[in-house]
Amino acid sequence: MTAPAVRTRRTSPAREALLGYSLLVPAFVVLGVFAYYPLYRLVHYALYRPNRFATREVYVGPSNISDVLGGDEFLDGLWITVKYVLYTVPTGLVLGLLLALAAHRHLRGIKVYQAIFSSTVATSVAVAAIVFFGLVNPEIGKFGDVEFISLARAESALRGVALTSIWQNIGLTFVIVLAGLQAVPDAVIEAARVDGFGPVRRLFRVTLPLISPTLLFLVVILLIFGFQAFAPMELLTNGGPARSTETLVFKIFRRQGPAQISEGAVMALGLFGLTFLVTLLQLTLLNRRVHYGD
Amino acid sequence: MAGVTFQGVTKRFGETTAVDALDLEIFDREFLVLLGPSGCGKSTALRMIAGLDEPTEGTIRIGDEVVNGVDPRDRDIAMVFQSYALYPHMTVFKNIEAPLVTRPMSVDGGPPRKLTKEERQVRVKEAAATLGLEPYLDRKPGALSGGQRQRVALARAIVRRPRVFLMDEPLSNLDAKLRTQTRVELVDLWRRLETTFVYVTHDQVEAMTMATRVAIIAEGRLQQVGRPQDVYEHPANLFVARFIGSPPMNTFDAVVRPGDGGLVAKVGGALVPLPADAGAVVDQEVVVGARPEHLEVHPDGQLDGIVRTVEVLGHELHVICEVAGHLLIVRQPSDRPAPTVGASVRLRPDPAHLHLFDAATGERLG
Repeated sequence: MTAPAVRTRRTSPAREALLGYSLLVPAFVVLGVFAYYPLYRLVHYALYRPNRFATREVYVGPSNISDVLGGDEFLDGLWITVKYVLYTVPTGLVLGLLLALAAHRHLRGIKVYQAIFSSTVATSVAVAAIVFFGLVNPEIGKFGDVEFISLARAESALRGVALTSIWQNIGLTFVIVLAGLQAVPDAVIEAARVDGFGPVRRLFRVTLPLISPTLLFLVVILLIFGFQAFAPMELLTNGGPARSTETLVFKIFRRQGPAQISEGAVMALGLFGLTFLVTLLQLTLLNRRVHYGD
Repeated sequence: MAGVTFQGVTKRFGETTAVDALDLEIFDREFLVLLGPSGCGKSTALRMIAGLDEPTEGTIRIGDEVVNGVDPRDRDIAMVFQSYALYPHMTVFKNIEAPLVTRPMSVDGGPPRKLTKEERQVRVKEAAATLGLEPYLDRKPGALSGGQRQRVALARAIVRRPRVFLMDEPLSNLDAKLRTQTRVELVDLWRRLETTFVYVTHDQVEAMTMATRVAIIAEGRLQQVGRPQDVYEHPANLFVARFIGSPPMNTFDAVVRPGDGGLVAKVGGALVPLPADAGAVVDQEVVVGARPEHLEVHPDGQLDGIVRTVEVLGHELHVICEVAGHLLIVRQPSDRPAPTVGASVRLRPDPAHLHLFDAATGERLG
C-alpha cells in the first residue's frame, strides 16, 4: 500500500512578500498621511518661497535655510527654548523622583498619596495653565508678587511658565519612577542594609543605578516635551512680555501667513534636527552609564 | 562567634501571626536548620535575627547582646538570600567588596576601623579563592550561571567574617545535581569557618544532611529541636512524624486494647502488638506510626492489604498497599521479590519501631 499523497500548500517567497507588504499597507497609509506627507510639505515650504503676490513659488534653496537658521529669530527662540528645558527637565525629574521615593513605602493609605501625586497626568494643559494663572498672575495671583516667577517681567516670565510645566509633568515622572522603584527587588535593598549601606548610600549606589533605564527614558521624554513646549506660553503669556517666552515652537506656530510660512518651515526643520541630535547624543552617552539588568 | 537566642519571640503582620512565642537557643558554631513547610514562619524568624523584621514581642540575643531594634548593619551578621540578591550593576569583585566598604572592622584584634583599599582587595581575593570565583571577578552577575551567582552570594557573606551566617533557602534555585554538590560544599565551608550557621529550608533532605540540629516549625510554632537522627527516630508529634522522612511515615488510627503479655493496637479488625514502653493506656484512641522500612510483607503479618503499586527505585522498592482504606508504603530491598500488583498480602510492622501518638493532641506517647 502506498502512503496517501500529502497535499501541502507551499507559499512561494513572492507570495509571502506580497502578504507581508499588504499587511504593512495600513501602517504606511497612516504614516504617509500624517507623517511623511507633512514632512515633504515642510521641506517644500522651506525650499520655495511664494512671490510677493503669492501667485507662484520661487526656489530659494539652501540659502533660505542657512539664512533662517543663522538668523536672530531662530537663535533667540532656540536660546529661550534651551533655558526653558533647563528650567523644567532637571527640576521636574528631581521632584518627581523625590515624590516617588517618598511614596514607595509599605504604609497604610499610601495609595491615596500615590493617586494624588499622579493626578496631574490626567490634567490638561489648559487646566494646568488656569490653575497657575490663578497662582502667579500679577494682578490676581496668590504668588503674583513673587518676582522670581512673575509673569509680568520679561526676566522672570519664562520661569513662571516653566513652573506650570513642571507641575503638569510631575505626575508622569512620579508614575514612571514609582513603577521603576517597584521593579527593584526588595531582597537587593535588604542585602544592602545587611551589607551596611546607609539610606543615602543605598539610594545612590543601589536604587538609582537599578532604575537608571527608567530615568534615561524620562530624561529623553521630558527633553522632547521641553523642546516642543507651546501650549503653556500660548495660554499664560502669549509669548510676552517683550517676547521673552517665545520658544521655537511658539515662533513656528506664529509663522503661518503666506509670507512667513517658509521661514517657519525652516525653523521647524531646525527644531526637528536638534531634537533628533540631542536624543541620539543622550542615548549614546547615557547608555554607557545605564544599567539594564541581566 | 556567637549563638543566637529567641526568648518568647512573636511576630505578627496585622492579623496574621507568623511566629508564635518562639523559644529557641542556637548554639555557638552549630549548623542549625530551621525546617518547615512554606509559610510556617521560618523565614520570618531568620529575618528577625538579621534585623530585617522586628519582633512584636520577646527578645532576640546574638551572643549576650539583645539586638531588638539594632540596625542590620550593626548586628555583625551576614545573609544569603534565596534570590541571591546580588547587585546586578556591580562586578563580582564589587559585589563581594560591598560589605567591607562602609563598615568599621577590627583588624588583627585591634579597634574597629574602616579597611583600606588594599586590605579590602586582599579579603575579596581570599573569599573569591575560597569559592573558586577568581576567574569571574570582573564579570557582572548577569554573565554568570545560577551556581556561580550563588557562590558570589556566599563570598559576599563570608568576606566580612560575621559572627552568624543566615541563609534563606540558598539552594532552592539550583538544579538537583548542583544542589547535592553545593550541600557538601556548604558543610565543608561551615567546618572551615567555625561559625554559627542558621539555615532556612523546606527541604528535609537538606536539613537531615547538613544540620547539627534541626528546628522544625509549623504554623509559627516550634515543634521539635534536635539532632536529625533523633528527630527522625523520636518525632515529638504527628506533624514532625509525617513531615520528616521520605517516603513519609505510615500512620493509622487505632484503639489500645489489652493483649497477651502486653498492650495491642486494634487497627480495624487486626491486632498489632505494641512495645512495652508505648506509654498508652487501655481504650485510649491513638495514631500508630510505622516508617516504611519498619513494615514488611510477611505471611504472618497482622494487617491485610492489597498491593496497589510497586515503585522500583533501583536500590529499593516501595510497595504501596491499601489497608482498611489507607495507603501504606512498605520499603524493601530490591533483592527481595516484588509482590504482584493486585495481590492480597499481609503486612507485619516491626513492634520495636512503632510510634504512638495521642489521637486528640497528636503528641508522642512514651
